[in-house]
Amino acid sequence: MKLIRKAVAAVATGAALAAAAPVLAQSVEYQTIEEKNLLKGKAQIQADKGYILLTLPNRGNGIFIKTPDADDIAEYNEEYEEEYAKALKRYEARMERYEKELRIWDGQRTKRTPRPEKPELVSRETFSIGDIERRMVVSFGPQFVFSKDSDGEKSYSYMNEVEPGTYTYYGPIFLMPNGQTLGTCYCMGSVKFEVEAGEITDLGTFLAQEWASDEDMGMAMVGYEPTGRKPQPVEYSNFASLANYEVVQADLRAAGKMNNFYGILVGRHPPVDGVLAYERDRIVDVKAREAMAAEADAVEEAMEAVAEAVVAIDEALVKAAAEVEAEVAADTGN
Amino acid sequence: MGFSRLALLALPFSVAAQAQYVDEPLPQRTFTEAEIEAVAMPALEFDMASANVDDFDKYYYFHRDDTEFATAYYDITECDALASGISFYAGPTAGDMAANMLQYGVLAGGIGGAIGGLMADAIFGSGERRKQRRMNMRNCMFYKGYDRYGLEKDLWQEFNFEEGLSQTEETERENKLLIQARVASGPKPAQGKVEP
Repeated sequence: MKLIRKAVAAVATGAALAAAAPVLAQSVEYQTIEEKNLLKGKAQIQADKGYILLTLPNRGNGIFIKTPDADDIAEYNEEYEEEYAKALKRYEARMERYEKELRIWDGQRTKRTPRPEKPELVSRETFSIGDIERRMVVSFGPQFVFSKDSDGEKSYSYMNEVEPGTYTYYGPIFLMPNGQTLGTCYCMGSVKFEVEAGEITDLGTFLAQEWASDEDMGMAMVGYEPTGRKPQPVEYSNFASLANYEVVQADLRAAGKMNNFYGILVGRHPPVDGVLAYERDRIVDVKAREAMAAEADAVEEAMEAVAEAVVAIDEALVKAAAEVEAEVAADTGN
Repeated sequence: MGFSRLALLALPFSVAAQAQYVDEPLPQRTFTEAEIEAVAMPALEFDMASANVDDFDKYYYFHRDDTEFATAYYDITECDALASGISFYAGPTAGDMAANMLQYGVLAGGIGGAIGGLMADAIFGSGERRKQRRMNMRNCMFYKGYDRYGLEKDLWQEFNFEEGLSQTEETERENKLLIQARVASGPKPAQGKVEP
């Protein structure tokens, strides 16, 4: 919290600097849901929207990235073409001006000004409107809690209404309303999950990482000092206010590498039993590996059966041939 | 006869074995022997007794046994890009990375880190930015299994760069990354490694 206050203060004092950040087109729509508004009927759980619910022991923050669907990609490509056309037009105008200035400069007997600089070429290879993922950001916290329990065992739950789709946890990152960021991106490995329409996908206390051992944490962070952590199982919420809705536990899968488009600290999610493992920096989808192992066992069994059948057929053929031979011998003998 | 039929059955496995990895590495840039030889090996010898060991947090190089130059170059450029907020992985889905960075630096227009990082700059300034870059390089190369070795500042400056609030010029960046790759894939250092 101290850091957050410091950050807020810095943004307030550095308003001019902060304002310099360009406003990026945000393609994915989301909003926070608070329990009190749900109870008062000011907010609804809608059939065509998905919901992400999570619980932390303190106020926290983080970012999810929606995997772009065909519409998102089409929209992105369209914007790219528009912006590229504009940039090309600007480049052509600059080139024209440059050539004019160069002609004048070449004509000067005594050079009073430095030679005009050629504008940088605008091409598809060099022109970028930034990563599409940056437009697919869904953030939560630290404010706008769904519900908080400040007595006894403290807990803070957050709920976001999102577009249905696949969401990757991009890391514990604080996204300011003006687009500034602080935190660590899980750029080198994380987890993802599906959010279905009309359902509340509950991450439980997973993001608090209390399930992780010292060894897990050491895999995720260089110079990690073991603290003798005692891993706790992930707990899932049980809100009376959500009793009439479909609440499902998030089905986590391993997620791949992503760019550090905010230019912040780079890290990765600790390995997760049965979900996410690492071989050096290669990310292993443990669920896929286990499914493949089961499939391999099944295929091996099938292959053994085929091999047995082949042997049986061979034996039958040999036997049949012997019988034919015997018959032929008997016939010629007669 | 039976064997050949069984071999056919087993064929799909080699393809499926890749499916357990979330990402396929991008194609590596290839180098000829002559190109590798042309990257001069920098001086790495110094007197450990008189060296400032506390500075090894800032001044260091990476090395991994049994690593080819092209692999080391790929690893170092990937980590450098991530550390600096330069786009390295391309493609609209996480598992669909395209090879747009074969020639490192082509996507100069993709530099986006400076924008999001304004926040941190407002609070901490250039020194913190340099520290963050060092942390990022260490984290990334640690994941990749490289060891870290301390170096004297003067020697370090010959083939490294620090980045605060400004970006290093593209050609200088590439030349220095090539040398770092040469060191990382070169002979095993005689000195002891430091913590990753």
